[in-house]
Amino acid sequence: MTANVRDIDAIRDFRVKLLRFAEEIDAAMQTLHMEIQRTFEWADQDRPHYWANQGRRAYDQVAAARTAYETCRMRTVAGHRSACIEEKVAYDKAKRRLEHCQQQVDHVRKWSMKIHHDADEFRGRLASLGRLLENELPQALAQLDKSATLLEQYADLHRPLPEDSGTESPSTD
Amino acid sequence: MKPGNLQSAAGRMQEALEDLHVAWQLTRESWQDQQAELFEEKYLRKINEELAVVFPAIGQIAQTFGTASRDCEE
Repeated sequence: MTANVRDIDAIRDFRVKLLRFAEEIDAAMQTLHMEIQRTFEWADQDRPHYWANQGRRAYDQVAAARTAYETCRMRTVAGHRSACIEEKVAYDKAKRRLEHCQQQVDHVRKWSMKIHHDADEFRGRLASLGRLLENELPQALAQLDKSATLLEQYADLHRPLPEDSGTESPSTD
Repeated sequence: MKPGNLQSAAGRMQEALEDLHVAWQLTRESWQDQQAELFEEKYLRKINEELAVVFPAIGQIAQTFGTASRDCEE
Protein backbone atom coordinates (compact mmCIF):
# COMPACT_ATOMS: atom_id res chain seq x y z
CA MET A 1 0.00 0.00 0.00
CA THR A 2 1.61 3.31 -1.06
CA ALA A 3 1.12 6.53 0.83
CA ASN A 4 0.01 9.78 -0.68
CA VAL A 5 0.46 12.43 1.97
CA ARG A 6 1.29 16.01 1.06
CA ASP A 7 1.50 17.26 4.64
CA ILE A 8 2.23 14.94 7.54
CA ASP A 9 1.25 17.70 9.98
CA ALA A 10 -2.30 17.44 8.63
CA ILE A 11 -2.51 13.95 10.16
CA ARG A 12 -1.14 15.24 13.47
CA ASP A 13 -3.58 18.16 13.36
CA PHE A 14 -6.48 15.85 12.69
CA ARG A 15 -5.41 13.67 15.61
CA VAL A 16 -5.72 16.73 17.87
CA LYS A 17 -9.18 17.47 16.43
CA LEU A 18 -10.27 13.87 16.94
CA LEU A 19 -9.06 13.97 20.54
CA ARG A 20 -11.00 17.21 21.10
CA PHE A 21 -14.06 15.60 19.52
CA ALA A 22 -13.80 12.64 21.92
CA GLU A 23 -13.52 15.01 24.89
CA GLU A 24 -16.53 17.03 23.74
CA ILE A 25 -18.67 13.94 23.21
CA ASP A 26 -17.60 12.54 26.57
CA ALA A 27 -18.49 15.82 28.31
CA ALA A 28 -21.85 15.96 26.51
CA MET A 29 -22.58 12.37 27.57
CA GLN A 30 -21.80 13.21 31.19
CA THR A 31 -24.19 16.17 30.92
CA LEU A 32 -26.89 13.88 29.51
CA HIS A 33 -26.45 11.44 32.40
CA MET A 34 -26.62 14.29 34.92
CA GLU A 35 -29.74 15.76 33.33
CA ILE A 36 -31.42 12.34 33.32
CA GLN A 37 -30.56 11.97 37.01
CA ARG A 38 -32.03 15.42 37.65
CA THR A 39 -35.21 14.37 35.86
CA PHE A 40 -35.43 11.26 38.06
CA GLU A 41 -35.21 13.48 41.15
CA TRP A 42 -37.87 15.77 39.72
CA ALA A 43 -40.23 12.88 38.92
CA ASP A 44 -39.51 10.75 42.03
CA GLN A 45 -39.17 13.40 44.72
CA ASP A 46 -40.01 16.94 43.70
CA ARG A 47 -43.34 16.29 41.95
CA PRO A 48 -44.77 13.72 44.40
CA HIS A 49 -43.83 15.99 47.28
CA TYR A 50 -45.36 19.02 45.57
CA TRP A 51 -48.67 17.34 44.73
CA ALA A 52 -48.97 15.61 48.09
CA ASN A 53 -48.48 18.99 49.70
CA GLN A 54 -50.98 20.65 47.40
CA GLY A 55 -53.41 17.80 48.13
CA ARG A 56 -53.19 18.41 51.88
CA ARG A 57 -53.78 22.11 51.40
CA ALA A 58 -56.68 21.43 49.06
CA TYR A 59 -58.19 19.06 51.62
CA ASP A 60 -58.00 21.78 54.27
CA GLN A 61 -59.54 24.24 51.81
CA VAL A 62 -62.43 21.86 51.18
CA ALA A 63 -63.04 21.49 54.90
CA ALA A 64 -62.94 25.26 55.43
CA ALA A 65 -65.17 25.97 52.42
CA ARG A 66 -67.70 23.34 53.53
CA THR A 67 -67.82 24.79 57.03
CA ALA A 68 -68.33 28.27 55.57
CA TYR A 69 -71.08 26.99 53.29
CA GLU A 70 -72.89 25.08 56.05
CA THR A 71 -72.60 27.98 58.46
CA CYS A 72 -74.08 30.25 55.83
CA ARG A 73 -76.98 27.89 55.18
CA MET A 74 -77.84 27.82 58.90
CA ARG A 75 -77.98 31.58 58.98
CA THR A 76 -81.31 33.38 58.56
CA VAL A 77 -81.76 37.04 57.80
CA ALA A 78 -85.20 38.47 58.55
CA GLY A 79 -86.58 34.95 58.62
CA HIS A 80 -85.08 34.01 55.24
CA ARG A 81 -82.30 31.60 54.56
CA SER A 82 -79.45 32.96 52.43
CA ALA A 83 -78.79 31.33 49.03
CA CYS A 84 -75.07 31.23 49.95
CA ILE A 85 -74.08 31.32 46.27
CA GLU A 86 -70.55 32.59 46.88
CA GLU A 87 -69.93 29.98 49.55
CA LYS A 88 -71.26 27.22 47.29
CA VAL A 89 -69.04 28.36 44.43
CA ALA A 90 -66.02 28.42 46.75
CA TYR A 91 -66.88 24.97 48.10
CA ASP A 92 -67.23 23.48 44.59
CA LYS A 93 -63.98 25.10 43.50
CA ALA A 94 -62.15 23.68 46.52
CA LYS A 95 -63.51 20.20 45.74
CA ARG A 96 -62.38 20.47 42.12
CA ARG A 97 -58.93 21.53 43.26
CA LEU A 98 -58.69 18.55 45.64
CA GLU A 99 -59.76 16.21 42.84
CA HIS A 100 -57.13 17.75 40.51
CA CYS A 101 -54.40 17.28 43.13
CA GLN A 102 -55.37 13.63 43.62
CA GLN A 103 -55.31 13.07 39.84
CA GLN A 104 -51.90 14.73 39.62
CA VAL A 105 -50.49 12.33 42.23
CA ASP A 106 -51.50 9.44 39.92
CA HIS A 107 -50.23 11.31 36.87
CA VAL A 108 -46.83 11.86 38.45
CA ARG A 109 -46.56 8.18 39.40
CA LYS A 110 -47.31 7.12 35.81
CA TRP A 111 -44.91 9.66 34.34
CA SER A 112 -42.17 8.57 36.73
CA MET A 113 -42.50 5.00 35.46
CA LYS A 114 -42.42 6.13 31.82
CA ILE A 115 -39.45 8.41 32.42
CA HIS A 116 -37.47 5.56 34.01
CA HIS A 117 -38.42 3.18 31.21
CA ASP A 118 -37.51 5.60 28.40
CA ALA A 119 -34.33 6.72 30.17
CA ASP A 120 -33.19 3.09 30.51
CA GLU A 121 -33.63 2.59 26.77
CA PHE A 122 -31.87 5.84 26.03
CA ARG A 123 -28.94 5.00 28.29
CA GLY A 124 -28.60 1.73 26.42
CA ARG A 125 -28.10 3.71 23.21
CA LEU A 126 -25.65 6.03 24.91
CA ALA A 127 -23.69 3.03 26.19
CA SER A 128 -22.92 2.06 22.62
CA LEU A 129 -21.50 5.53 21.99
CA GLY A 130 -19.57 5.23 25.24
CA ARG A 131 -17.98 1.98 24.05
CA LEU A 132 -16.96 3.72 20.83
CA LEU A 133 -15.24 6.43 22.87
CA GLU A 134 -13.56 3.95 25.18
CA ASN A 135 -12.45 1.34 22.68
CA GLU A 136 -12.38 2.54 19.12
CA LEU A 137 -11.39 6.18 19.42
CA PRO A 138 -8.16 5.37 21.28
CA GLN A 139 -7.41 2.91 18.47
CA ALA A 140 -8.10 5.62 15.89
CA LEU A 141 -5.83 8.05 17.71
CA ALA A 142 -3.09 5.42 17.90
CA GLN A 143 -3.51 4.68 14.21
CA LEU A 144 -3.08 8.35 13.30
CA ASP A 145 -0.05 8.62 15.54
CA LYS A 146 1.49 5.52 14.01
CA SER A 147 0.83 6.67 10.44
CA ALA A 148 2.31 10.11 11.09
CA THR A 149 5.35 8.65 12.84
CA LEU A 150 6.05 6.19 10.02
CA LEU A 151 5.74 8.94 7.44
CA GLU A 152 8.03 11.23 9.45
CA GLN A 153 10.61 8.47 9.76
CA TYR A 154 10.40 7.82 6.04
CA ALA A 155 10.72 11.53 5.26
CA ASP A 156 13.77 11.79 7.54
CA LEU A 157 15.44 8.86 5.78
CA HIS A 158 15.02 10.47 2.39
CA ARG A 159 16.05 13.99 3.25
CA PRO A 160 17.12 16.21 1.55
CA LEU A 161 14.62 16.06 -1.29
CA PRO A 162 13.94 19.77 -1.83
CA GLU A 163 11.92 19.36 -5.04
CA ASP A 164 9.61 16.72 -3.53
CA SER A 165 6.51 18.34 -2.12
CA GLY A 166 4.69 15.02 -1.77
CA THR A 167 5.79 11.88 0.03
CA GLU A 168 5.78 8.50 -1.65
CA SER A 169 6.45 5.66 0.75
CA PRO A 170 5.88 1.94 0.58
CA SER A 171 3.39 1.71 3.38
CA THR A 172 1.83 3.49 6.36
CA ASP A 173 0.22 0.31 7.72
CA MET B 1 -37.31 22.39 40.03
CA LYS B 2 -37.58 21.39 36.38
CA PRO B 3 -36.79 18.14 34.57
CA GLY B 4 -33.37 17.89 32.94
CA ASN B 5 -32.53 19.82 29.80
CA LEU B 6 -30.93 17.57 27.18
CA GLN B 7 -30.79 20.02 24.30
CA SER B 8 -27.57 21.75 25.28
CA ALA B 9 -25.71 18.43 25.34
CA ALA B 10 -27.24 17.49 21.98
CA GLY B 11 -26.12 20.83 20.54
CA ARG B 12 -22.61 20.29 21.88
CA MET B 13 -22.45 16.86 20.24
CA GLN B 14 -23.79 18.22 16.96
CA GLU B 15 -21.21 20.99 16.94
CA ALA B 16 -18.39 18.58 17.76
CA LEU B 17 -19.44 16.32 14.89
CA GLU B 18 -19.60 19.21 12.44
CA ASP B 19 -16.15 20.40 13.51
CA LEU B 20 -14.83 16.87 13.02
CA HIS B 21 -16.29 16.69 9.50
CA VAL B 22 -14.68 19.99 8.55
CA ALA B 23 -11.35 18.89 10.03
CA TRP B 24 -11.48 15.60 8.16
CA GLN B 25 -12.25 17.30 4.83
CA LEU B 26 -9.22 19.54 5.34
CA THR B 27 -7.09 16.55 6.25
CA ARG B 28 -8.21 14.65 3.17
CA GLU B 29 -6.85 17.42 0.96
CA SER B 30 -3.39 16.43 2.18
CA TRP B 31 -3.93 12.74 2.85
CA GLN B 32 -5.26 10.99 -0.23
CA ASP B 33 -4.23 7.38 -0.06
CA GLN B 34 -5.93 4.09 0.69
CA GLN B 35 -4.90 4.36 4.32
CA ALA B 36 -7.03 7.48 4.66
CA GLU B 37 -9.96 5.72 3.02
CA LEU B 38 -9.60 2.79 5.39
CA PHE B 39 -9.39 5.12 8.36
CA GLU B 40 -12.54 6.89 7.24
CA GLU B 41 -14.33 3.60 6.69
CA LYS B 42 -13.23 2.01 9.95
CA TYR B 43 -13.57 4.89 12.38
CA LEU B 44 -15.33 7.97 11.02
CA ARG B 45 -18.21 6.08 9.46
CA LYS B 46 -18.77 4.34 12.80
CA ILE B 47 -18.82 7.68 14.61
CA ASN B 48 -21.41 8.99 12.15
CA GLU B 49 -23.53 5.87 12.53
CA GLU B 50 -23.47 6.01 16.32
CA LEU B 51 -24.42 9.67 16.45
CA ALA B 52 -27.09 9.18 13.79
CA VAL B 53 -28.78 6.88 16.32
CA VAL B 54 -28.10 9.05 19.37
CA PHE B 55 -29.45 12.36 17.99
CA PRO B 56 -33.01 11.15 17.35
CA ALA B 57 -32.92 9.26 20.65
CA ILE B 58 -32.10 12.51 22.46
CA GLY B 59 -34.97 14.18 20.61
CA GLN B 60 -37.37 11.43 21.67
CA ILE B 61 -36.45 11.43 25.33
CA ALA B 62 -36.41 15.23 25.43
CA GLN B 63 -39.97 15.12 24.11
CA THR B 64 -40.94 12.65 26.85
CA PHE B 65 -39.41 14.92 29.49
CA GLY B 66 -41.15 17.97 28.01
CA THR B 67 -44.58 16.33 27.98
CA ALA B 68 -44.04 14.99 31.50
CA SER B 69 -43.09 18.47 32.63
CA ARG B 70 -46.26 20.00 31.24
CA ASP B 71 -48.45 17.20 32.63
CA CYS B 72 -46.97 17.28 36.11
CA GLU B 73 -47.00 21.04 36.60
CA GLU B 74 -50.05 23.06 37.60
